[in-house]
Amino acid sequence: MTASIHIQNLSRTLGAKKILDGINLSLEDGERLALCGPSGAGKTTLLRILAGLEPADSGTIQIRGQLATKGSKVVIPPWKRNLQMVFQDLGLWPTRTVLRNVSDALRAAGRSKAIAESSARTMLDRLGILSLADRKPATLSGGEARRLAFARALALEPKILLLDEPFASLDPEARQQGQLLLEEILTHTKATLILVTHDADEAKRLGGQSLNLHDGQLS
Amino acid sequence: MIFHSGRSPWPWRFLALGALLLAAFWPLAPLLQTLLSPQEWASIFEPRLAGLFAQTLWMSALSGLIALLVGWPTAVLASRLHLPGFGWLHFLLPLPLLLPPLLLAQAWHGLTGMDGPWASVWSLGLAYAPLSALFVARALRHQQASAHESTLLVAGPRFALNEMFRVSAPAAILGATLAAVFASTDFAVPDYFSSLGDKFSVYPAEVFNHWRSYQGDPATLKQGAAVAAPLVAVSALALYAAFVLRDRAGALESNSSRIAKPMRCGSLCIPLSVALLSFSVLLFFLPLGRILYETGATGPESQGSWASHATAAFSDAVQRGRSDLGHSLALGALAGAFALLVAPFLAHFWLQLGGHHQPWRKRAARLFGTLLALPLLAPAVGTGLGAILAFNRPGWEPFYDSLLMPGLVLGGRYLPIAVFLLAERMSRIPQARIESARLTGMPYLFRLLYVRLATCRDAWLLGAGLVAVFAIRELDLAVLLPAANASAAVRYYNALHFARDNFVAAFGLLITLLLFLPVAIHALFSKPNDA
Repeated sequence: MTASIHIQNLSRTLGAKKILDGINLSLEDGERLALCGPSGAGKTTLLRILAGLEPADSGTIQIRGQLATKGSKVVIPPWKRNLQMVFQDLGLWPTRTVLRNVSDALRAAGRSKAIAESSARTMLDRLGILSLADRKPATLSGGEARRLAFARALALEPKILLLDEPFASLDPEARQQGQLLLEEILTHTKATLILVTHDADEAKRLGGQSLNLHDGQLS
Repeated sequence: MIFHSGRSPWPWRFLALGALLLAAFWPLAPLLQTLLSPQEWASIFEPRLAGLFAQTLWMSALSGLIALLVGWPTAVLASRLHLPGFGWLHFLLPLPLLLPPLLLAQAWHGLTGMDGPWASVWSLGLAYAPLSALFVARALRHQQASAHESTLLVAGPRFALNEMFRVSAPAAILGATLAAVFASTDFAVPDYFSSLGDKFSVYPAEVFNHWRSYQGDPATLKQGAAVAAPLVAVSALALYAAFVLRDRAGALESNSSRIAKPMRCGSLCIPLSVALLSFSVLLFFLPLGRILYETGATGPESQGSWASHATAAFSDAVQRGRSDLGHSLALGALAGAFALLVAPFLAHFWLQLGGHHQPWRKRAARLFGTLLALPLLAPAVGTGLGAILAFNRPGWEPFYDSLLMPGLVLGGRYLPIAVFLLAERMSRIPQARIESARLTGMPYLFRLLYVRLATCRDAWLLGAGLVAVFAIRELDLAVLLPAANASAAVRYYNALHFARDNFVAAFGLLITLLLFLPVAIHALFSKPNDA
């Protein structure tokens, strides 16, 4: 069986610091990984290289059997990797309404206008923010904005989902709700997941494997 | 008490507003009186003036459209895309803004032989296109990196490009509106094209004619300054609408300091490079090339090579223009210093006025911004006449005859540019940074200086620098004010009308080089601040 993600000897140096030092990792379809580690350990850098947003210095990444990154060369561009990422600062599109943040993403990915809009409404409804469809992201609360970022990423039905501290800065109740929602969605979509978190409980609750990134290496 | 607000900002604000009233609004008094008096409006709208008014409006609207259509894509392509070989281009973006519009007009006439109103529309549109481009480049610089990257993950460069255009649309429209306003207040360029071919006139010419017919009766000057009122009213409405659009566009507050990297364009690289090259040729290379050619161009009868003529023209320009350039630099320094001192207080006040979610405060801020822009919206010749009325009075001669007067008037006229730039930059400082400074009990002036201006040093200096640059290249106002007559712009204007083409081109390039040096040094050594 081909691994969903296969990372071999991946290294990256930023300035004088070796952020990633010979990382090896393999994840099967639908597998979940919680990536823990102190701030500045390189967790976000690893996700960004995996997404194709940054090159590595050396090593390779294969996504579903295809060479995606080879050293400093991004072989498969980000938009062809069939993965989505929820950024730490969410990366919402400020000039579009909540509905259009999702429906425009679907249209840009090739869906027809009618299908994009109905799928977007369904996804917003599932995440409990359909009533905010006409609002701009700047007017949302932290929790609502986070749900929107999830809705946009999940509406595209990616095979791989990368979450960069998705529940940071949420209150415990909102955090628990978010985790339940994620569990439900993952059960439904069977996407491979890499979740960056500082929270050991959150890592445990995810139910998959948990690795610690420290001094550029996974343990 | 835990929360300590420090000393009140109001004394400083009153001082800044007082300086603004003296430098910018006093010369506008005849015009403002007209704006507020309905019976004066009736006399302005007699058929001949109404026709002139309509002509000026469509011409300036078209110039604004050209500025939008050229400036917007140029800024997106030059500042945010990784197009091989074009890395240096965003650095040249402000260059055409530094060329006196009359110099560009001369270059376009030399290149194409164009004249008449369309030539004026074209030339002024391209002269002010960099204004739109600069606003767009600044807006894109603050696009959240993750918002850009998520467009890449969703659908690639085409969609990312679409988002860049969306995010920068309000800035582009605001820049184009200002370009249209500048075009509507320009007298020298339409006058130049009118003198070459099809005769036409524009509204600021009407103001200028009152000055020409002035024979000691202040009423003539007052009428001249007042006649510009309808143009100012329409420009103010357009600017207010641009502010509304900007406020509605919505912005996402971000504490992230990460700036999006220039995007690689894949298969779009070649067509986008061709597009950028075409815009660059229109904006920089064609007019600059032509002006350079003009420095050594000769008639069929004359002896000597192009190089020898060009060398002679440059040496003539340096020799004859040295003292005028010195005067212009002093004028620019005075105007820039005025903006440096006054802009922070007004920018902060404007920001605070609109920094709450109540709709009435947003409206009040837009109104304040529009009022603040009035000196910029008035034709320079109108401001010049107003300045003569305001400051040419018994006992004021030392002030009226010194460079301080035009320096102050020019500083006041262009101050809105510095205020807008600084306020936009200040609005991006994380609230937590400001609140933590307030919690320490730091007084207002220290907070402004050490928290806001320390973070926004880049925009603060850029704003004051632009005010200085605009003051140096100002022609219409300098022609009117005796104390500003010995400036580079006026010498240039006179030489142009005496058809000394080699000297004009060489002197124009010298002025440009002089203006571009500080911008180039700023661009080379400035680093993007955080926040």
